[in-house]
Amino acid sequence: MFFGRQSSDDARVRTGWIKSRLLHPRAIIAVMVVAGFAMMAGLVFPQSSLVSQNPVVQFLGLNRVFTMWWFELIAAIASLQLFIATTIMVRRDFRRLTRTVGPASAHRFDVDHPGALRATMSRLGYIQIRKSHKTTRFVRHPWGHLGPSVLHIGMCITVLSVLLVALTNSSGLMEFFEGERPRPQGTPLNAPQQGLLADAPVLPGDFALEELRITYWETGEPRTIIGRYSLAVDGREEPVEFVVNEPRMIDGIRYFQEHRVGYAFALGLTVGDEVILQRLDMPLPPSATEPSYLDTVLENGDTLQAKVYHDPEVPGGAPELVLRLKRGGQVIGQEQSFAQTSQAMVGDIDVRVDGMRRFSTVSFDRSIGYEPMFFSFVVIFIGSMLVYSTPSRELTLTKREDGTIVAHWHAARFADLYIHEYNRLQAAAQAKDST
Amino acid sequence: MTQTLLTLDPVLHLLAAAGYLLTFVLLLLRTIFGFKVGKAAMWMGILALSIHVAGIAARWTALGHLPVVTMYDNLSWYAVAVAAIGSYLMIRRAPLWQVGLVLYPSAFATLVWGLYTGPRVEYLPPTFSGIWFVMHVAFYYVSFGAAVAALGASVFFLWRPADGSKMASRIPDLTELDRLAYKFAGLTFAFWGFGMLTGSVWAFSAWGRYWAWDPIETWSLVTWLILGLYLHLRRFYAWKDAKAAWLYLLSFVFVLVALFASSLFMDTIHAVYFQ
Repeated sequence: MFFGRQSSDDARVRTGWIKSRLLHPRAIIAVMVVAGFAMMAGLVFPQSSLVSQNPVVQFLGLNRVFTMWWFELIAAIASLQLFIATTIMVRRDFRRLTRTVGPASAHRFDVDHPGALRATMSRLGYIQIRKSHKTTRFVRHPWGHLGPSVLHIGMCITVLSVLLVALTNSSGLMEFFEGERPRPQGTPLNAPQQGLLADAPVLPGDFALEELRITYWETGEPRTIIGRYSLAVDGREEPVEFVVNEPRMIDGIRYFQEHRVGYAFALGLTVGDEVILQRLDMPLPPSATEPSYLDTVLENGDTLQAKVYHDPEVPGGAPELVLRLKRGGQVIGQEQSFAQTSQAMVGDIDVRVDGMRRFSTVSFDRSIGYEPMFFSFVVIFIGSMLVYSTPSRELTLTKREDGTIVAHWHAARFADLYIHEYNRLQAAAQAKDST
Repeated sequence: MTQTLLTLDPVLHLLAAAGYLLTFVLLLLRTIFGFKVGKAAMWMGILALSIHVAGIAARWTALGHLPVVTMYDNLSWYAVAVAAIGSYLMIRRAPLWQVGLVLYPSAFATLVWGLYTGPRVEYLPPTFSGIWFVMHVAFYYVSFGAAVAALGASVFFLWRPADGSKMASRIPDLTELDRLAYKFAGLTFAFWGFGMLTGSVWAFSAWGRYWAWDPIETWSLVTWLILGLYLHLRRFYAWKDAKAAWLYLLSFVFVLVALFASSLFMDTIHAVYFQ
C-alpha cells in the first residue's frame, strides 16, 4: 500500500515535470521555430521521390522533408503540446467562467450608488454570473472566457482528423475514354495512396465514361466540366454524373470529377522498321485560340512535341493535332498538322493517327475523417472570434463588514483597451460625470 | 455594355491610384509641415476608395463573375483592402491617421503594379467556384490589408524623428501605435488562418486533397507560424515597441513572399491565378 502510493506520487511528479517542461512558453516557441525551419527546408530543397545525388541531402532526407521521421516527430511533439495544453486550458477556462469572485485587481472603487452602477452595467451588457451572501460577480461576454478552449479544442479535432484521414487513406485516380467498355470492379487505381489501416485503392464498381460535357465562356475558356458515367456495383448499374468542384459521396466513396480532361490520340509511329503504338493524352486547350501542349520522350530518345487546338463551338471539339519531332535539341523537319490527314511524316518518323477519343479523369477516395476535419475548422473559427472579439470583463461587488460595497474590475485580455469602460463604471458607482 | 465597362475599369483604377497618391501626399504635408489637411486627406482617401470599388464593380459586371483570376484582379483586391483599412483608421481612429503614411503608398504601389500587368480579360476556370473559394481569397485580401496596417503602426518604432522636433510632436502616441500593431497582427494571424482553412476545404472539393505541401501552402503555413510566434512573444514575454516591431517586419517579409514572390518564382499550382 505504502509503495503503491509512493509510486503513484512519483508518477504524478514525473507527469508534472513533463507538463511544465513541455508546455513552457520557451518549449512551445522552440517547437514552432523548429517546425518553421523544417518547412523552410522543404521549400529550399526540391522535393522529389527520387534519390538525391547529394549524399548529405539524401541522408538527412531534405529532398523528402514532409515524409521524414524527424518531421513527423516534430509534428507529434507539437500535437502533444497542443493536447496537454488544451486539457489544462479547458479546466482553467471553466473555472474562470464559473468562479464566485473575479481576480483581485488594481482597478477597484467604492460603490456609493449601487443602483446607478447596476443600470450602467446593464447598459454595457454585464451579466450576473454568481451570487453569494457577500459577493456578486458580473461578467461582460462570459463566453469570451471559453474562447481559448474552443479554439484549442478545434485544433485538437483537426490533428485527430488528419491522423484518421492519414490512417484510413485509400485513394487513387483513373482515366476513362468516351465509348470505352467498362473497366471492371477491383481494377487497381493509378497514383494510389494507402494508409496503414486502409484497403488497397481499387475501382469500386464496373465504371465507364458515357459522355463528357464541357461548357465554355464566350472566349472559349472552359467553364464547367461534367462527366456522365455508368457505375455498376454487384451487377446493379446506374448512371452517375460528376461535376468539377462538386465531389459526390456514393456508398462511402467520394468521387471527384478532375479538371484533367482532353483528347486522347492513338498513334502508330513507324521508326525505321519498327512500329510503336503511342497514346497522347492531350489536355483540353485553355481557350479557343490557344493550344494545349504535351512533350513525349520516345524510346529512341527523340521528343515528340504535340499541341492541339479545338473549336469549343463544335460538338466534340473537332480537335486538330499538330506534331513535330525534336532530336538532340534540334527540331527535325516541319510541324505537321493532322487536321486533314490521318498519316504524315513528322521528321523522319511516319505517324499514323489511328483514332481519337475524349478522356476524363476521376478520383476515388474512401478515406474517413474529412467531416470532423472540416467541422473543426468551424470550431476554430468560432474560438478565434470569441478570443478576438469578446474578451471578458468582469466586475465583482463585495460587501464589507461595515455594509459598504467595493467593486473589483478585471479584463481577461487587453485591459488597457477597455479602461474607458472601467472609468464609466467607476463614474456611475460614484455618481460622477463619466465624460 | 460589356465593352464599355471593360474600357471604364482601368480608367477608374488609374484614377483611384492617383487618389491614393494624393492622399499620401496630403498626409505627408501634414506630418512634415503640419499643414491642416487631415480632413482633406480623409475625404480624398474615401473618394479614391469609392472610385476603386466602382472600378472593381465595373469589371465584375463585365466579366459576370468575381474578378480574381489575373494578377491585375488580385492586386486590385489587395489594394482595396489596404485602402479600406486606411479609410477606416482615418474615420474611426483619427489620432492614428499617420498609419496612412504606409497604407496609402502601399495601396498605390499595389494598384500601379496591377495596372502595369494589364487588365486582360480572363474567365474563371472550372475549379475556381463555390463559396469556399470566395471565402479563401477574401480572407487573404483582408489579411493583407491588416498586415499592412500592422506594418504602418510598427514602422514608427523603426523610424522616429528626433525627440523634441516638430515632426515628433505630430507622430501619434507610441503606446497607441504599439497596441494597434498588436491588434492588426492578431487580425492578420486570424484571417490568414481562416484563409488557409477555407482554402483547404476548397482544395478538397476542387482537387480531392486538402493539403499538398505546395510551395505556396508551405510558405503560407510558415508565415502563419511566424505571426503566431510574434503574438506568443508579445503575450508571454511582453515583447513590445522596437523589438516587437523588428520581429513584425520579419513577419511582413514572409507575408510578401507567401502572397507574391512564391507565386511569381516558384512552381506552384497557385501560379495559375498570378500570371
